Amino acid sequence: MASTSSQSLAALADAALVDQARKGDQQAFTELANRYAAKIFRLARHITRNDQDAEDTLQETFLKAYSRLDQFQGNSSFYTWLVRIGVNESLMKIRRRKDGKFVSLDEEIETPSGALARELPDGGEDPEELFGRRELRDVLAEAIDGLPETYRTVFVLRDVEGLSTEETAEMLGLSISAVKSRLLRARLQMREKLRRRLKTNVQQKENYM
Amino acid sequence: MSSKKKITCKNFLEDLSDYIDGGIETELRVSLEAHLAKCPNCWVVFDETRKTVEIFQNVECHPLPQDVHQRLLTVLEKSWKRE
Repeated sequence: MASTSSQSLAALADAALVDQARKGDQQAFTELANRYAAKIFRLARHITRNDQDAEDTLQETFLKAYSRLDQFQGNSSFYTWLVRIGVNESLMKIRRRKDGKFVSLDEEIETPSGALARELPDGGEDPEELFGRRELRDVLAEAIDGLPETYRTVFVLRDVEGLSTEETAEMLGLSISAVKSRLLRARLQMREKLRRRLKTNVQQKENYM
Repeated sequence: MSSKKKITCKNFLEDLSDYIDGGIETELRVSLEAHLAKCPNCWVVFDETRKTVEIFQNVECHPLPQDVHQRLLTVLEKSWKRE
């Protein structure tokens, strides 16, 4: 079928794109993929802790979403629906890994070098600032990688992806109180890992209170 | 202290996450803030945890590499050709 130009697709809301994609407009789905690929990749990379698994998960998530478009009810946003598929795919990846073929989940921490070189922006940023941001990015990524899976998934959904407690609970099949308690533990562990960088000074209290 | 509930450090920690997220009733919030005002240890835990949460809103840990994005689009197109 004839597809709308990519410029006009970019102006459409997700729900309208989903409608068009359901009618067979593949360009409409491509626009949705362009909108959310980065978020799904980030989510998958945080949960799987592995670049290749994250890329596989990204592709599987969008292939699955396309094939199941008819099942999308519109009760939640398209993004939330997509995240649900992405979380399930990511968790399946690490479960499969746990089943034996690969290294133990809790021992494996990827070093962030390598992959980072190609992520450098084209230029324009001050090199020192760029280095500072890259370094911080590495520190944060490693801190998340170091969380146990049960805390990591909750932390990523709540504090990285910005989902609500209720959405996170529903997505992971947990109670609200379980999400809250895991989130608290995850945040406290992250604070421990990052505290040297945060440099809290009790003197600052006066400014805040 | 004007609030009714006496907050211990342990109580404070239990409600820390909700307090940071702002999803907390006024009465409890007032009690927690009264505790914060007189407990430097809890204040440091609160401040560092709040900053920890905030930092993730501003820094993108895993930007999508362009080649990964391109391969996703290629995979989608291939699957549509097979339809």
